[in-house]
Amino acid sequence: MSSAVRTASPRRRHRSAGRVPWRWLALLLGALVMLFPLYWMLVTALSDTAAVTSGPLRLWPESASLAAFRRAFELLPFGQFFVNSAAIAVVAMLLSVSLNLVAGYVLAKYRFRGRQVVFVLVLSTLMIPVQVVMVPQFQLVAGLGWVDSYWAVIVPRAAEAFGIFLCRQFMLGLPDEVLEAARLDGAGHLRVFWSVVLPMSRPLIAVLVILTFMYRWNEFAWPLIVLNDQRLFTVPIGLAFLQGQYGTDYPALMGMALLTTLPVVVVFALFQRQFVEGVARSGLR
Amino acid sequence: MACHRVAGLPAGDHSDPVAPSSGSIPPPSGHGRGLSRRRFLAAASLGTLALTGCGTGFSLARGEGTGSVEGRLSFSLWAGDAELTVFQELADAWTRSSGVPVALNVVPFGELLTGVDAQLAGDRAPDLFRVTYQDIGLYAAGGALLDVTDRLPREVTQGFTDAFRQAVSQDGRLYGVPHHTDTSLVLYDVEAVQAAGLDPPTTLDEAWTWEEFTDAARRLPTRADQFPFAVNWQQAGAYRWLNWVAQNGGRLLDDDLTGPAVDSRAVREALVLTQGFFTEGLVPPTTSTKGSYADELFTTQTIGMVFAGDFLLPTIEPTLAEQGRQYGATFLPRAESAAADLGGNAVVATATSVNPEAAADFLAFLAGDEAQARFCEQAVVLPTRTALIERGLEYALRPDLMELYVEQATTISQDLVEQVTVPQFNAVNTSLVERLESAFLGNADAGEVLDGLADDIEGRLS
Amino acid sequence: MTTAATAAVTVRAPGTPEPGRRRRRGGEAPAAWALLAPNLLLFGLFLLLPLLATSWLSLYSSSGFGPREYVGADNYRELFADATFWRSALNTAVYAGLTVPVSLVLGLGVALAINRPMRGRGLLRAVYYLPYVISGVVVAVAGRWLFNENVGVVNRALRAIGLPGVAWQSEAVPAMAALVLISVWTKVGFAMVVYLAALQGVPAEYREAAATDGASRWQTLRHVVVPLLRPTTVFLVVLGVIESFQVFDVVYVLTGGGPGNATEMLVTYAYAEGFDARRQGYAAAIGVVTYLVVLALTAVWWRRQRGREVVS
Repeated sequence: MSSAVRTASPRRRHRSAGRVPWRWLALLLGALVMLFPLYWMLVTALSDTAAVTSGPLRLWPESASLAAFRRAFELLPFGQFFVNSAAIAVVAMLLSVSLNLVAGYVLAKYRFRGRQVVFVLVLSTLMIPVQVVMVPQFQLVAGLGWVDSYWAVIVPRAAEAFGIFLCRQFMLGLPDEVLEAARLDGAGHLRVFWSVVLPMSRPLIAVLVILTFMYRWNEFAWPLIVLNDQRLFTVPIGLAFLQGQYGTDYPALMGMALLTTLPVVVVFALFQRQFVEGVARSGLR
Repeated sequence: MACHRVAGLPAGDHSDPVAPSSGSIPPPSGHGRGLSRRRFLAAASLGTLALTGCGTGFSLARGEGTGSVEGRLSFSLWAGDAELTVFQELADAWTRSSGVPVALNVVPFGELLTGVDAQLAGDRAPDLFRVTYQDIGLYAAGGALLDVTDRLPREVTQGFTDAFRQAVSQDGRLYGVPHHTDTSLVLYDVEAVQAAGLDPPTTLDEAWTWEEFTDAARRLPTRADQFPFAVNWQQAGAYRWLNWVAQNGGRLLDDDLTGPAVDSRAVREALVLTQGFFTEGLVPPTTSTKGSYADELFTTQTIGMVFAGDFLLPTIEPTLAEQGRQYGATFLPRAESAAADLGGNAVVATATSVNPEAAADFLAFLAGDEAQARFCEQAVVLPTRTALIERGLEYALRPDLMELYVEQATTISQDLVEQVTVPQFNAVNTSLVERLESAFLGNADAGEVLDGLADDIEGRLS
Repeated sequence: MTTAATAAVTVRAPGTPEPGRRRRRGGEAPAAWALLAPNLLLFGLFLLLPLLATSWLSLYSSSGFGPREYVGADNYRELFADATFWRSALNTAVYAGLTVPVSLVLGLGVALAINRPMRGRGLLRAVYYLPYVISGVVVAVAGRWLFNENVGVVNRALRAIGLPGVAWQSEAVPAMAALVLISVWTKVGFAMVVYLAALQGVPAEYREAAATDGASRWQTLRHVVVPLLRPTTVFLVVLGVIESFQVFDVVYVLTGGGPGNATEMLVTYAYAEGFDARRQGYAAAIGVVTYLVVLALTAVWWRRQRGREVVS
């Protein structure tokens, strides 16, 4: 959000002192409800199983212990899994976001026969239930010799309809005059994209980064099928192992589930300020 | 983790990103964007850091894969901790003598066959995989498995009991080795059983009859959130319901295994009895065939008795020890006769393996007397070889209970084995899951449930 | 599909240029196709081709390996007579019909309430958004733990205050409720952010109305603000319906489709048929039908939407 918007905003009436801020209290209560599942996961992670499943109900940990985290890290190389997940998610994100931006730009600002057809075709892929096409996808990836490599996870999901849709909607709003001027100055297609379009698309990029990183970091079924070597596993696959071959260690599972969520939260925190503006200016409204 | 160091960047949000504006979109410009620029730099550095710091991740960008490649055996399996340790030990031992390395690819139980199916379809199947006796028929019939009839030494194949050799055979050909078996017993919480004044039977001959068992269950003291017991017939384990059928002298499939045989008094009685467990509230409603695994409720003290396989002991033992609880075991209830389920797993080689000799040699080693004894003792599961059954094993855990499991396993009948290893059994099992669920939770009429089951079986066997 | 884009553009601030109105130099097509090529290649190879393969497979009886047999339209014929398929379709519709409106209404409520200066606003907003970034698997795992009928905290809390526990896992209605609740938990934040963004396009005096007290507040909201947010709502509904029809992870881990078929969804049913019952051809048919249904729903919705926009 730019400061231009902030200064343009009218001064608002501030709540007179002494009144009960009902609205604020309601929001706070709602926020507590939203946080409770995560809080209970934390309590579980810090307790032993018996303490959170039997005896009188207690909403806070009786005695906090990191034993569950230790168990998880002893059982599986979660450190390695985090590194793998990060490597895959970051590379996949950079690739996807670049591809999205280029496609969105072309679909928004170029006139050519077949543009609508391409756009509709791209959007129609959004409705494909991935679990159903998983086997042919695997056959393809196997045919390319990619099985058990990061590329098998990254490349097949690199083109992403929703991202392209966002980019197109956002870029429809970019002023044509600026682009035209740059072209008249003799800038080529890539040059215009790189030095004119991209600098105007920061809020959009923030949205894409958050959504894509989240999507790729959280992916489960596909990596599980194309990655076989344990040294390549991602964190969500590790979580599946914690759900037990025989019996589930709930504290360890909850602890690692929470840890898994942290990186996404960090990325969100980093980019969230531009997020709302990005959403506001893309097709999401 | 190095790649997360960027988390330290100021991420606090004191301004108002969505402060009300005049409603128009501001012209995108580079002015007045100090903050966003910094944020943008942060983004860039996040990318760079992640790429360099986590570049270590990419040094591994390609794994060894599970596809069959020459000079190595790949083996896909699920395994608990105890199992994995001994699998690794045995694989290492075989590698020392054969010179061929074995790559173990461990996958959660629920996902293994999905992966194997995709790999078979993509022509990337491993050399070997672990499979239940209920699923093996499907793969054999689909031509996915290596016919090892003439590849295994006679002393190996003749060493299995008839029932287990049968379990991995189709049309007289052998498609793998019966690696081990399991069966179920009723585990009980000693304190709860004593409080109820119960004295669980200690020999097979004295095993509780259905009526005695039900009476015993009713006497177990329970709080509002507790139940007397639970049975292990969830999901892939639905076939364990057939124990009740067999105990009552009934069959699921007819004698030549080509059609249903559920329209009988014996089967109906078994269904009515087990349905009664739910309607009477003797078992938690969450332990129906689509529900959650029964053993978890035993460790959380929700139930006083649980039907559980021997392979669960390595999980249950430490958990209960930690809680300071004592548990014992008694035999499955009996009616006309005693009967127990065919649990356990086979190991198979794939038809597309490029190392058929090595794969067969590994199977022969794994299922030989010595390796099987080692595996069963360490993983606390039961052997399939006559010699081991006769001589007895020294189990690493609760040998007292394992003695009972061994005894119970003698009631796994050839009859039942034949029925649960037909090629289509896995489809029949999914029907069992659905139909029993409707009886247990939907309170459907027993006759209708069995009619539906018969229809399904007819469709799936054809 | 382009109608949604049009709808979105119509609420855009005045002065935003329409695409492609200006005169173009000729010869843009080669550059456009060249720039689109990588995307088109990836879509074609990894989505459209597998979709075609799946459609093809739906005409066969196949376990996924071994011999397959051509059966023509048999899978589809069986599908339309399959009670479980219809149940899954109904469940999916119910799931979408509950999850989407509830998360939208709550999201809008939070957005309206939070769209003004207040203490800890950034933090509050982040908290509401937080569940959205959590993976489906983690959400389901958390849900299963919370709503565990025997030892879950929800039922333990109910029992602690003397109420009976709810049969979240063994009765149809509570199981669907648990699924919807946990889904709404993750979706409220997204709706909130999108509505917050959209509220920027609502003139200040109307937004102000939401903040003032008195009798007219509700009226203004109902008759001015909500209609102004209409394109946003439509967008969220369409997106929500698409997502709901593809729901998998949460259901697979949380309920596995049970009890009975009470929470079986189209995609979980396809998965179960394909990988449990090993009827890949039949599973493919379910997948193809699901795809077509979502495609048709979205198209119809957007077309109607455009009709309304034109009329008004």
